[in-house]
Amino acid sequence: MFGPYGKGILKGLKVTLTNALRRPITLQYPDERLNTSKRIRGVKLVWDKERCTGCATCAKSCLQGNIVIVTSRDKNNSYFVEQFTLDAGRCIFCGLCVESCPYSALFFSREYETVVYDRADLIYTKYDLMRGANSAISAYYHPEFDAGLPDQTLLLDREHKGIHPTFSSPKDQK
Amino acid sequence: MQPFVFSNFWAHWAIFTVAVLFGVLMLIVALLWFDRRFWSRFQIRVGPNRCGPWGLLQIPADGLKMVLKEDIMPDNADKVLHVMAPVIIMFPVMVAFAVMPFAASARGGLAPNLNIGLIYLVAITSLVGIGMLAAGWGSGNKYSLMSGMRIVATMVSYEFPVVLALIGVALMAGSLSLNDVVGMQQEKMWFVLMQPLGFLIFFIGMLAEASRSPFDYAEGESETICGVNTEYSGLRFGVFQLTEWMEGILMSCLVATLFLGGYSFLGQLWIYPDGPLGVFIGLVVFLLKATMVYLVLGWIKCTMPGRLRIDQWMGFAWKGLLPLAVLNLFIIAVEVVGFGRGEELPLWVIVINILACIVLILMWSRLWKTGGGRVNVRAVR
Repeated sequence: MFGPYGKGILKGLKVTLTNALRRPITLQYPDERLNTSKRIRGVKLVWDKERCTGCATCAKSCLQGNIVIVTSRDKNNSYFVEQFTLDAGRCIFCGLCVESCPYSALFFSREYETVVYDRADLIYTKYDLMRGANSAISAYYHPEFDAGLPDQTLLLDREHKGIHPTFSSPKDQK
Repeated sequence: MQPFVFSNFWAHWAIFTVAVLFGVLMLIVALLWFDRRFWSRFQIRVGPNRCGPWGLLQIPADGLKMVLKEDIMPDNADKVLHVMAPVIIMFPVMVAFAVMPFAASARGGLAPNLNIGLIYLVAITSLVGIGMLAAGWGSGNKYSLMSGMRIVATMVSYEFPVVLALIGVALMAGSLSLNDVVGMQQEKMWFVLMQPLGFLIFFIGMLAEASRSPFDYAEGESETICGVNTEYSGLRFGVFQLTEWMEGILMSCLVATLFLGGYSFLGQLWIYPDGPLGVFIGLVVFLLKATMVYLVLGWIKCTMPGRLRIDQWMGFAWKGLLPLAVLNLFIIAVEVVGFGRGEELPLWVIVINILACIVLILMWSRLWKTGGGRVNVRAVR
């Protein structure tokens, strides 16, 4: 009967006000982090020194040729891995190296915060990649790790403050 | 016996001028921070909170950045106008605060009781349009000029309803002095209840005058790059920004003074004690009211970020607001003539005026249909 007497404007004001009364969904990143997927393909690999036989299947399966393995023969007449080098700057995260490893000696890392000043710093040696006590191993292709990892979160979990010490950042490891 | 700062001319001058100038600038910084945190809640985020405690230093940091930036002058700019325009714009907004009754003056307060305060305000704020046009012309940029023209058109069109609404206030208060307007509201009731239609007209008109969203034709980033600000950089751009925020604060102070009872509490509900304590309470009450109005401006900005087409915009002023303002003035004039002005006015005119407001808005709502953006096919053929 009557024309638009500002009903739409009032409706809009109500919509914005209801949104304003919601809790902010902002993630304050360095202070608060979300849990990544359990099977994240992180920027690093985790290399198990004990299981690796130096067969270099990973190096052969790598499309980019990022993995360099240099082996020698030790006194037990088995391979000793002298060099295991990964150029993470050229990695395409296809995961073929992890999937092809016949001895389950290679895993994806869960780290995703690798920032460097120089591309050369992205070339990791076997000492950077070696599996240790605080290695963050992704469950990619290795579902046996699933159980130990926290569930992925897409929104901030305010009850637990959103901070899950799932892994330490690369800086802390050094 | 009044305190020294109120009785001595120079002491009053120093306190008043410095306090108001400094206070208004500080108010901008504080309100802007508050506002940015407030806006961000509308977008479900937390807003600036990195710089200093709770992000309090964000605004000074932004200001510092603005000052340190390079100041660029376009080659084909009108040099004098380009330099002068920010000053022309900032000066009237700054000076308009001189008559703002921040606190009770009859008991020895801050504001000088200028007896033509309303006329002074209307006259001095119109100068902003000249400054905007100067900035648009002086930039040597066609979009800046177009934006300047649009601002002047807006200001001229919306000056009429605003002034007519102000006349209603002056009629009811029986005075042009802002202090008397506040005093009358303390005597009777807030004018937002006494003349709700006038309040709405004044609010919408002042939104346009102060170039606030949804009427921010001054910037109009989707149509005229950045409006008159396009060719400005560095400190001069900062002055433009500062003026925009100061206009917003001036508008909220005006609405609080003219329609929300200024420094007085609701009617005669609470009469402040005499002396400096009462002045201080009045100042706090006034600032709280102005802040609330400023937050409503932010709310409106977050709800309606877009603008109307300029012809719809002009039609709204001339076909919608102006007749309504005239009718509102007529109703108030009849009431004032019939029942007497100000304190003689019976309180039940509130009911009449609210009913008149609703009926008139419903009647006028048919006129506000401007096609809704659809092309009139018959006209095209």
